[in-house]
Amino acid sequence: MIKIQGLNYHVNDKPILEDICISFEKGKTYGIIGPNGAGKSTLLKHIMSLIKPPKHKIYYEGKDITDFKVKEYAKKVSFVFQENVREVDFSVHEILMMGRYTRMDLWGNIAQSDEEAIEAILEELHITALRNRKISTLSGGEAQKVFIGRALLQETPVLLLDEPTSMLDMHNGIEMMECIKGLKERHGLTVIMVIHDLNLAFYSCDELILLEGGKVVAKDASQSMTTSEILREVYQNKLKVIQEKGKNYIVPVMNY
Amino acid sequence: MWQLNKKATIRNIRLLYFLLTIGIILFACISVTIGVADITLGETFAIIRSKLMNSPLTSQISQGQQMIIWNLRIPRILMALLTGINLAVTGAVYQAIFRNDMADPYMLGVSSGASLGAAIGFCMGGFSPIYAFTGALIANGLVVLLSGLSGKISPIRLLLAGLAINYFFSAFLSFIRIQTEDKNLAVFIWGMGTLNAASYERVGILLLVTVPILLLFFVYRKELNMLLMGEEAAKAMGVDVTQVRKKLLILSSMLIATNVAFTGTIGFVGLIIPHVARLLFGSNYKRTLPLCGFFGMYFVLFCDNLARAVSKGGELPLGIVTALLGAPYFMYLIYRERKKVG
Repeated sequence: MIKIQGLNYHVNDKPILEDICISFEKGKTYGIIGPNGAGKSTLLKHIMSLIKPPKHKIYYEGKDITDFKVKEYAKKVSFVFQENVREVDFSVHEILMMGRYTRMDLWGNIAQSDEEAIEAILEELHITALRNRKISTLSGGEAQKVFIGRALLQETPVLLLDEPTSMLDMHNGIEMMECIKGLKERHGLTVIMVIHDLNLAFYSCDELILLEGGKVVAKDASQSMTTSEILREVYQNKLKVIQEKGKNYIVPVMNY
Repeated sequence: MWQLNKKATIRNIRLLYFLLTIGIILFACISVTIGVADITLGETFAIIRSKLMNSPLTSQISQGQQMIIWNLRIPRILMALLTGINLAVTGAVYQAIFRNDMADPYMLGVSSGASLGAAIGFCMGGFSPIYAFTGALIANGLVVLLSGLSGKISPIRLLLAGLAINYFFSAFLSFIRIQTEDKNLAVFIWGMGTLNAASYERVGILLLVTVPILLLFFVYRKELNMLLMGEEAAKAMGVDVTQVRKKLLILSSMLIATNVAFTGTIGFVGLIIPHVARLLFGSNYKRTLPLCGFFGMYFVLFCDNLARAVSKGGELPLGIVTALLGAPYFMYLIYRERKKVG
């Protein structure tokens, strides 16, 4: 569905991404993991074309993504940011309406069917009660659901998420991942997310891509990755695998 | 249920627009009577009626009074209304495209560019709005280019670019003033903003520029809303940020440059009116933009009335009044921001 071929990205001669080659298949959930500064979010922004890649490096269903118009590409791929602007005076409904931008008429109005789609998303994400609340008054978890809803309303086959749980506590983080999993199944999405929490990554993603220093150092099925030696090396042996009811969990190793 | 709420909100907004329209018509009518010459509301209406219907006037109304109302005050009020709309709406547009609450047409070099253009025009044989227009457009273009049109525009870089261009153009202006001694007094007064050069011809030209540009701003209200969510978010939702920003900047610069060429520089309107509109009615540009237009009209007309009323036998430059009223609000904004950070 999305293919990256030899992508390089430098900032002031410093390599941020080096020779990235990955293929993302339709209907799967991919997790991009790695330590801070590995280039995870930069890679995701390249896929969304927020950082314009060079020609012939990233393809969407065989078409170079640089050949898409911005509006056209927003119908193919949507993005949920790690941090969203919330100090605006928009209501939840107004934020969700923005997800229908590509369908708005000249004056910014949407059709009745779009209004119905908004209502359906509000219901699906269990945030109908927040409909008229200002985004600035919501908690981190509630706001994150609204921004996921906005991306879903773009009705794109591919959904990108940049650390969707980073602003949430453990309980809300798990709930958010379950929510994303359900949405992915119901909407038949291909999900690519950057995720810091390794346990959430192992149990939410079909495949994991491990980045270090801007390079892909491993790409494997999630469960295989738990016992990967490379993973341990990347995290400087500060990880330990424990088993609980037949499942592998990662715990940090403290040296004090 | 929400459908009902939505319909009720739309009805309320329409009612508000209706009331504001009636209000501004009444305010404009009252404003016509304000000035050094004592002409009553009844006499004013009689003059307007006679002009519109080509009917004879009563003997109590002199030719002079007729001239004052029809040739001086009415075009002046029309110019005030247009100026109010243009400055306030463009301020709101600038604040959205730069995501900077402090962005204002004059902060982006328009003022110094127009003043320099006017001064050059004066030196070359006589003041013409076309010189001010060209100056404003060049200065604004330089600020925008310096702050990085194609990439991310950082608010700090924008303010610094505005500052640098303003200083650079002001230095040239001072040089010209020194060289021509006090021959540039007219340009100096014009530089502080005034509506006393308003004429039907100028109102007509400004209207021809204003109507299509405002219409385009209204078409771009959805994109302005998205830009408030951040450049990357807007792009991810399908907005071609670079193109939209380019178009809006060109349109804004043209509108402000034309306005400034006829009225001189009138500060603070584009800065404070969008703030007031957002404070009262939220961030949505579908509402903010028309409300900015209304509030801008009320504010500039009020300031112009004040400028004519407080100075016996003459008038204060309009820019002084808008600054005297606008600057304290701006200071309050800075104080509020400081408190937020603290």
